[in-house]
Amino acid sequence: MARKAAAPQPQANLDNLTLSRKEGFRDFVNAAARIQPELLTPRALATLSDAARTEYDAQRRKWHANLGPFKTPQLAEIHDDLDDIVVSNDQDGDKPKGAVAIDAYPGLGKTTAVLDYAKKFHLREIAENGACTASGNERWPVCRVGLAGNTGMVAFNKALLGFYAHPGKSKGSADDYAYRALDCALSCETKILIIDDLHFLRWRNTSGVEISNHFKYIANEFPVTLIYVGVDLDKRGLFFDGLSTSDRAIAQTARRTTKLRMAPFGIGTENQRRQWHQLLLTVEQRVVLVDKRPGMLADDLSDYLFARSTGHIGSLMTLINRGCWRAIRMGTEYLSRDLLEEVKTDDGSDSRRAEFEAAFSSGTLTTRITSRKPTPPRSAAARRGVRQRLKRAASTKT
Amino acid sequence: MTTARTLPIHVAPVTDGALDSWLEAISHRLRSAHGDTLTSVGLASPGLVGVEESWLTRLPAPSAEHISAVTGQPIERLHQMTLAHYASPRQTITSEAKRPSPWSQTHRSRYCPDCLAESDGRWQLQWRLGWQFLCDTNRATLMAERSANDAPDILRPALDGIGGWERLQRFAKASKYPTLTIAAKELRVHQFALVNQINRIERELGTKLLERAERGRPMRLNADGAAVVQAVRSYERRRARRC
Repeated sequence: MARKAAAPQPQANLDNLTLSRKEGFRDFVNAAARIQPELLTPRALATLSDAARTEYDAQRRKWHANLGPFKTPQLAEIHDDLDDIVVSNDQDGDKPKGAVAIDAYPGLGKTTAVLDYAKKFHLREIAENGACTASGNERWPVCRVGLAGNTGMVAFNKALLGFYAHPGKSKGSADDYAYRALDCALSCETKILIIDDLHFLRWRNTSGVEISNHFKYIANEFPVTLIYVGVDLDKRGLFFDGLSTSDRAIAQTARRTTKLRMAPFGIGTENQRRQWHQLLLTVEQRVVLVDKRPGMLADDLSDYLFARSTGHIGSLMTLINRGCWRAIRMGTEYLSRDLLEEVKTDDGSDSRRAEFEAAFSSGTLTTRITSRKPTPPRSAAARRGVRQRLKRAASTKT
Repeated sequence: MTTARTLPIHVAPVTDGALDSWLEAISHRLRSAHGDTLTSVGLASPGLVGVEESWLTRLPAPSAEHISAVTGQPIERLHQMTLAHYASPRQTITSEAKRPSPWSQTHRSRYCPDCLAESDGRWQLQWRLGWQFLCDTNRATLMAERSANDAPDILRPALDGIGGWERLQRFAKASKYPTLTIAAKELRVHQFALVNQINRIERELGTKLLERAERGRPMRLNADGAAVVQAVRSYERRRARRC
């Protein structure tokens, strides 16, 4: 295993602002996949000089902080659904295009899933049609806008212009900005408009209705599929089928929007437990700790990690990332329950932890799967046996 | 200098076109304020500096690099759109190159109206040269931007600046009203702007034109003012006949 330690990967410096600009989005899309740092033996690690050790740890820190995205069943499902909707949105100009709303609780990987889809879509479009349009303009198949706490109409349109680097951002009326944004979307042949953090909008006040109408305008005038990403959009009124007069404007947006949900990992069925197990196996493979061994996460810590993360991939990855750095820093180079106990994570995931832990210890719940590799039963009797075992396993769930 | 962000929409320069005209075409295509477009390509408004320092005459290398990065046009192409394109060992481009010939009354660029109409308003670089009088394409004499030759003498000093004729016309209209406040309201212009414009005409012509309104007495033209208004009216009629 005398592979040469991986050289630091040239990476675009992706700060939080970059995805609101086309250059940042392009860097994100074109960023080379990170190379996993080499897994050294404990002895090789001990022989590293101080400088080499510091560099190796820094590489691992960066690697653990960016482990994803994992092709989880949720991610694959969202991608399939998005592809169905985006590609089929080929209506003529007189018909509005359907929009998509990804509505799920925080920490489930909504933005990750959508951006991953956007990345593939962008690359596909550019590969098929080239980086420039037939009229010589830049091609931007995807535009992404993140909303701020006080985004109004003008600010929203300016954010669109900001993405494209359109110079006309300081002078003009709201209509001018909207026109320029439409011009950019048309000229750059944009097909997907991602509106992130939609829950920031205050739907029920005047500006909320204005923006809702503006989204309808975009759906009508822009040849794009809108993808809203947000938390609890249902309760905030995006899908509110207006009852009073003032809410009917919002209802129209609701009628054109397909809601896609992302569920946390579950452990209710054997299939769900397998998915959880599979995720932990994948994470385990990607973790670079010299004393790790097979089953460190997927077998030994499966229940514990589920209780800590409550099946939310965001919380799980935070825990793993911080745990790995702690293991590197403390020199244990192994993720154990004791070590992870010391790691603090978000409040959200900790809130239901006690509940899950009680259920695991009493045996009401388990993340354990019946067998690692189920062999296909050969006889009818064996098949019956498997069915009975599965039935028994299913009856243990709550 | 700020980081260059590329323009999403491209507008190609035309052959023989001037740099500022191309940038104006970009503003027009993007429907953005021209000042915003200039800012995005890292230029200040032309005309704030003398001819020799102006980027219309010679584009500084860092500016050329920046504009090239923003618009995707090769640097050489950008330099071709400035007067420096005509520079040679025997012909340096200074204010001399733009100096009008002795018999010309204009200080502004000449132009060929037919070429302008054909090219959708793109200004040709060579029209800026003081020695350029003929349009090769249309076999015609270039026109001066305003026909100051036949303007009444009394008006000429006020016709020099940009928008001079429009200012004079506005002054003539405003003089009919009893006060500048009412005039501004009727002409749908801000009072401050109107007063400024009239002050400028008075400064350029070197004489007072209006006796401002006082309590119980409306504003009125003095003798010079009346002569200027009359000259504006007659010149207006002559221009109308010519069109």
